[in-house]
Amino acid sequence: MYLLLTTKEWLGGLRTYALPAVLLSLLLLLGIAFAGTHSRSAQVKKNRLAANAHFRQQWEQLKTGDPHSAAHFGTYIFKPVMLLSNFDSGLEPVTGTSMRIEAHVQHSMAAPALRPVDIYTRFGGLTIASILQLFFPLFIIFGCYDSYTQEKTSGTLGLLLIQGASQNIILKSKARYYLTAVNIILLISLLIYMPALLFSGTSSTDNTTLISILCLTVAYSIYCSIFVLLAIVVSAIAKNGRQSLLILTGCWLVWNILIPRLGAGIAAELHPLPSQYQQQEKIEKAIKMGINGHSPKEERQQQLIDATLKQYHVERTDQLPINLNAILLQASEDYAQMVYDIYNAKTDSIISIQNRYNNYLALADPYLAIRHLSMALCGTGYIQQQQLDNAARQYRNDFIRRLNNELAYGGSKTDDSHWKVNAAFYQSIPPFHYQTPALSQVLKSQWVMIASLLLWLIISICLLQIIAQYAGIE
Amino acid sequence: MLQAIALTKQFGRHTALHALDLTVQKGEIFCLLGPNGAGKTTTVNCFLGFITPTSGRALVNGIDVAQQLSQARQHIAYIPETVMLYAHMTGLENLVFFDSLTGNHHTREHYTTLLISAGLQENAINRRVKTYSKGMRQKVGIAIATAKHAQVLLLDEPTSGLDPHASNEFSDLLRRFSEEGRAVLMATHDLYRAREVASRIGIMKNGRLITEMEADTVDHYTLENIYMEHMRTV
Repeated sequence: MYLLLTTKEWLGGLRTYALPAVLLSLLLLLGIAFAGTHSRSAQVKKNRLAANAHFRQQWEQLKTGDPHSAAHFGTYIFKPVMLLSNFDSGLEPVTGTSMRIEAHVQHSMAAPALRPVDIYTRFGGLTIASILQLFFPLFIIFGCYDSYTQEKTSGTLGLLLIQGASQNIILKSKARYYLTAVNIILLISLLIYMPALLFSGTSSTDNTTLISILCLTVAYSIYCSIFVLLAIVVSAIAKNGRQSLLILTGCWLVWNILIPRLGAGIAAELHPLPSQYQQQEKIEKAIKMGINGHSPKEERQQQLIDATLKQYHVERTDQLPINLNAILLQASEDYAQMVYDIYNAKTDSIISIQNRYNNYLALADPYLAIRHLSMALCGTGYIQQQQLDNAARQYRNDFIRRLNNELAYGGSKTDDSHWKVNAAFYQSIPPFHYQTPALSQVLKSQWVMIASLLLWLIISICLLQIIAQYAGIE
Repeated sequence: MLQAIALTKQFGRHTALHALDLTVQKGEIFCLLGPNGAGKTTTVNCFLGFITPTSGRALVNGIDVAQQLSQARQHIAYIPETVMLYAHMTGLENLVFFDSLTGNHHTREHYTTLLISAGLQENAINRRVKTYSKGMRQKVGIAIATAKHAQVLLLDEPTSGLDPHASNEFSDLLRRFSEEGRAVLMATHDLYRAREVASRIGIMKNGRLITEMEADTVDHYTLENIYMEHMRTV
């Protein structure tokens, strides 16, 4: 009987052109998104390769022989283009992917910008992910809202029941058909666009990417299945198609528009971040007057001069075998970094609390769950951003320390303006390398999102089971 | 075959059926007459299990519909006032589909014969139902009911939308069902048709069966007078 009823549904879907229409519409939307993101990322990759080569060459052929001047000259580092960022650009449009490295200046990555939590939940550009997250569920709703109500209102349900089909079987057959159809449409779409992404040449493909794609496919399949099952459940309990459509579009609005904004707003209201200006002012004051407010920069410098003179058993700075100015510069850098670390830790803890709100909300909202999981699997999520921040900060500090140490201990003396390093030294400083977090680490960080999707899938299945027992014709 | 015992149905504060007692025996055609809202369709729906009675019992072949719905439905064939079919399927496909749900499997020729017997033109059999008139859909509905070989036939204004010729053919079909020993309960407004085919006639008003008679004890004129008389009284 399942086969009979499901075949009838397939026949309807194909003969009324509902299925081909949905498939073509989705492919068209995805095509537009793919074309846009692909041309943008191809341009970004081209620019980045050129910029990388340019800045590296500039660095290796620096005219100045003074390492500290070189530190002031600085360089740029870039986040590698992630292959799947074309699928889901995640936080990248907001946080950016390039940063400047310079002495004394803590760039935005070294001192992360105070990002409000709602950057994660606002509408992004038109990407494959945003279409699958926002628009495909709408297609599903429009396709399924009338699945059972139509049988009820048209009168075919009565005939089905009298001929021996139970409500249970009818609903489950519909669920089977719509689940299969939606997942086939999803798979066809992914089978067309994923290889296009993989072979578009923006980056190399490895096993991790393939496993990430598999995880993405499973996650989106679960996400879409939740909408299918809920649409059938609502259709079974609604009096007519109009009521069913109203309830379902209401759910979509709450999940995909309201909760993400409301949640972010509540989190930001309860745990506000200080303004960028206030934060910077405090940091500068702490660097100048000391973190406790009682050890000004001049006093700290004098203590270091005295300690260095004592260490080298000399009385004047010109008797030192090293360059005291460079030591003072590095000490100033270290102190500034310590201050930044303290303030960043405070900021990070607020962001982490705000994110916790998002995590809790994701349990009530599968859209938030798929959004976070998708960007994390595509390498454009918060976890990757955090690791990039840390890697960039680490690289910057090592970069500046290496230059200052060369000036301090490489043979120059205090106030010696003629000492120079050769180009080989600059070449010996390695370029920035960013290692993305392992997939297992990413999945571990997204356990709430995975749990949310599974929870909603189970809820939907249970609801369907319950409704299948009680859905009537009255 | 069909038995209603003190069958009562309330929709909120409105009582649609007042302790209805009714029996339709094997080979009997029982026609329920009455104005709109008299409770005819509610009675049929109680036997179909589409609505649950507030009290009382509806029995099909001795099976309580409320208790053993699916078993009871195995014995029932049903033709509603407007047979709704799947518009994207042909008449033949609809018949094959609905009959297959009962577990029957026959040849294409068998189903074609059933549709032609029900009065559907041969050239319409393989056309999509979306091109059918109401009468044509009704004929497919008759074919579906015939194919099921059920012992009980429940009909709710089945001749609505049928042309006179098809209506006469339908009357012949009902007589054949009766001869085969099936029990038929038909709700209708058509006094003429009721007098033509029924074994017994019942008149309903305000959810009550107010009178019952053997069809051969009245002619068309008398039946109409009785009916009108009952409709005039409060």
